[in-house]
Amino acid sequence: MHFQCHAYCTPKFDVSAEECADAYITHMELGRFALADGTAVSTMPEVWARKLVYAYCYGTIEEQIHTLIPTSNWSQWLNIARKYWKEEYITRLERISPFIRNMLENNLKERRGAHSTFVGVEINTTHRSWCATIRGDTCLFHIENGELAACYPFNKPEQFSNFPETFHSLSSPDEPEPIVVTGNLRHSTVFILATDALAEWILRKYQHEGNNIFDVLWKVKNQVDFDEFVDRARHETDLRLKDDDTSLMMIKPLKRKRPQSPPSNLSSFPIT
Amino acid sequence: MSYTEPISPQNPGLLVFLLDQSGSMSANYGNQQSAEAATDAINHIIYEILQSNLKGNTIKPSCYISVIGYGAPNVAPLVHGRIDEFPQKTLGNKQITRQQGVETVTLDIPVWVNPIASEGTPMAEAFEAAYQLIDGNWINNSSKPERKSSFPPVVINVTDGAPDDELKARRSAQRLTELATSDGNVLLFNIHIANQDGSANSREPIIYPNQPNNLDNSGKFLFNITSLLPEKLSRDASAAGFHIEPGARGFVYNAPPLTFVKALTFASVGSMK
Repeated sequence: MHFQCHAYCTPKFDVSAEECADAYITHMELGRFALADGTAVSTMPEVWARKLVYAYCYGTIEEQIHTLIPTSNWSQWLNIARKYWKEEYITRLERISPFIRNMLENNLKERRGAHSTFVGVEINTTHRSWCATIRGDTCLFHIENGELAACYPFNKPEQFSNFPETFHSLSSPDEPEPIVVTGNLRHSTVFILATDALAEWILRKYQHEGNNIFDVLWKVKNQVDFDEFVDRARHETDLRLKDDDTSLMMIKPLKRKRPQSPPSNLSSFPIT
Repeated sequence: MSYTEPISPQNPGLLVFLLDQSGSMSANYGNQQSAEAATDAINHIIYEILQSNLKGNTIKPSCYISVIGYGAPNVAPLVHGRIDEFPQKTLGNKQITRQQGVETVTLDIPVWVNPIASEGTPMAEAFEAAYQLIDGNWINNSSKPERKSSFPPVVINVTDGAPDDELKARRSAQRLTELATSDGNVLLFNIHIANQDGSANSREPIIYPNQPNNLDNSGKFLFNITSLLPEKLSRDASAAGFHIEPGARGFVYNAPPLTFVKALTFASVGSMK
């Protein structure tokens, strides 16, 4: 399976790359792509976001589950992500100040873990189908022939709030289900994944400029371009991009087979 | 005037609690005194803001918090500082138990403010103290010019009753809310607590109203000095399960204990995001 995929992340203005709570990863051979946005008001959200995307793309393989589990079977990879998160949480408790250790120990007792929104898409070019799993306000834009066919889970900028639905790092018996969307893959199909601030901004732009906004996004060719693009958008007068960790992933299944290696920026992104 | 400036370590927010410590705060409220419930809630909120600023092994310095007590007998600053300094400002820990599913868990929660209930209700002087803090140390602080364009300070008044001097309090509140950054005027929210014990004295809680009907004189006074909820906070309040009509104000009247904590947490933690 071959894809053209570009993915970028620019942290919030005052945040270092290590603190950034957005995370993305791909598994090109399996056609799996995932983007998550750890929620600030939670415990170690940056770790949780990284574990979520990693478990979606690689978890069931790493755990030596030999039958390839489809990502629509979300509880499988979600529980693997939770296991990874808790292992790192326990490790961190050993090397922090008593005040913060007390906070983290209280959190574990109260089952207050980390939250993250999430979008994962699995593309099967053999069966010409795709399946997306969505939780919260990280959005999936489905483009056909350069035009917006659908945006999940929101299609209006007014639908965003400070309280998105999330995946939680600790399981609960009444776990709400994520949105699972499936579709047929066409030659013109393109996917754009964006975390909330950018997704909201794209929808506002779409309301004003129509599908041109997607051409603008595809002109971003590398991380430097993206940093500049985000900086400009954050300083726009009318439609200003909110200052938040901002991530974009653009996926175009290729029509013909040809050698394709993952973009270099993906391999350098921390995933554990 | 849009209330859209983000709060960050470069542009920190300021959250000021005005805590009624008058004698009437010794009244029963749920299974404790009003004064204890109010200080528990404020300690809880400081702890929650610390949680929300916990990044890795450090606390992100994204806001300042000030707690000013009034009553007992005067107006006095109880604790003030940047959020990352609060681990060093604790008065100790309080053990609390919480029900977690079928389990009861014991937590050590830090304490920054202790309960006091004594004497009158100098609310006007408390608004004046907030004015001095915000005007001199915040908006017009010549060494921090960037604060003139930051998200405006949020003042949350926690009280169980009427001020000693209503006219003076109204004027002080008006003066306070006329202070502004380029992003909006200072926000003044009022959270009023009252015992809801099911007796004839129990009064109906009124949450984020958009008009003063059904309020008694004390309620109307607090309604009139309270700021409108900015659009973003209105949306967040709806998402948090509150019923919000257009023109809703950041005012809760006769709040029973659970509503009190929820509304106070929403108004404070929500504002500092």
